[in-house]
Amino acid sequence: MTLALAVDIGLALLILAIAAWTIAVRDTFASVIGFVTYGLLLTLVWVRLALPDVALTEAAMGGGLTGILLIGAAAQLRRTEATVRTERLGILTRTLAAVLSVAVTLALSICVLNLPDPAPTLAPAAAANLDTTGVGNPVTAVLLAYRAMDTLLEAIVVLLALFGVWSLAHDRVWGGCPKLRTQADSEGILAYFARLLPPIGIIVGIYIFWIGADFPGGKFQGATILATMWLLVIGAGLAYLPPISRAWLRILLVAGPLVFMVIGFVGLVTAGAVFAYPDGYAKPLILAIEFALMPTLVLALALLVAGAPQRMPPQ
Amino acid sequence: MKFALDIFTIFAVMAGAFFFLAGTVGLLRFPDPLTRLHALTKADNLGLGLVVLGLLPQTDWPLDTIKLVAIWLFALLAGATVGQLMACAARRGGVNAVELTPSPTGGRSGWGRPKGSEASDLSCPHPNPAPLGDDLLGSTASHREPPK
Repeated sequence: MTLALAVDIGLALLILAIAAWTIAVRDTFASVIGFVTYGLLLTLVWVRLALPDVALTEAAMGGGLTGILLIGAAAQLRRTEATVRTERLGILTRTLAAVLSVAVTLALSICVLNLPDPAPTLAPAAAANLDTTGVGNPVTAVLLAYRAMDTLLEAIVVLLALFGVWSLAHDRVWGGCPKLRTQADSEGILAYFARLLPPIGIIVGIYIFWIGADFPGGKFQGATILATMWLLVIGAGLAYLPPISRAWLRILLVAGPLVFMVIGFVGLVTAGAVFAYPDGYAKPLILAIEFALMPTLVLALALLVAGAPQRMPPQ
Repeated sequence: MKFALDIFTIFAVMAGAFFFLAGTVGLLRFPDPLTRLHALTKADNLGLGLVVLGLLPQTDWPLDTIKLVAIWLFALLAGATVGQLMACAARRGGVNAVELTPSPTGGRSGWGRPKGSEASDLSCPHPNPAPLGDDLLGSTASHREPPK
């Protein structure tokens, strides 16, 4: 048994153990921490599978952003947690849940184990046509050229999630500011941190966004880093979240998907199909879409964390 | 030369792993949040530092080397900041101070924030002495040297 195999087996066992613990533990907050740890370990698995694109996304979205959202949710639920924990579901409900979970696991296992060997793949085709897209990273080519429709829907789903969060706002604060818990001490350690880190973080975020055309990286990962920097500055009390009624905010939020859709439908005229790019223009168009999507994603991800509007802006 | 560098890598990474192990044991065994944080920061600072130091001879100069050192510096920065914030939360709100209190505006609530202490004492100038006594904090100060 080689050392690498031992590491892989250890990693797999650790992930299974963390997953089981995340489900079994009764405390919501502990469960969320388990989930974040699970995400970070999953990142290591993607690295071991030589898939740095997926690893970056998992670290940024799966571990980081989802983790923050879940911690926020756990904080909201803490008040009711004691009463919820005393309630036990009936034996029938629990049996049904167990049967359903086992059935899904079994079905997935059978599907995976019955895949032909080698598994059917479009990877050679994707690599062969990479030149026509002009980008160097096959993952970016899949996301923005071969399967551009999926990426558009992803961006729209993020926006819809944000609108769903906003719709939880009380009527009288509609159009107001989301309220992020802040540290008001402008001399505190967090304020120091929030002054020191963002210049570096912004460069790293833009770099990861820019490098995505040719190497692992991309807009989702870069946007998460930029959104984090923004939230850090706001969390330290050095800046404020804008009211959600601001015109520039709403324009930037819809600009990304809108540009994406316009370019997609223009393809119907210039290249003969929706989301087809005319010869030679693939790379500039892909870059234009990415540039338009970037502010949308940064704002949407940060505002998702900030939550529903809580108060009206000062007049 | 190559052989000597490989030996150096092996020893430095093993020393780093030892600090991670010691930090983990401390995290599990120490009695209160401040000492646990103390154990944790040792693992971050020294453990990661030694691992990075050990890996430096194996990297391509200059980009990979600088990236590794930068990772260590960022971990130092983040570890020190988060350690301070958690210690402040622990001192302010008691040992298991992750209790939810509604904010005065009736809006979203925060962690470990007793009512009224609105975020002004981040640097802990006047901590609540009750939950963690000063003797305990004194004992943390005497731990400042890293363990061997």
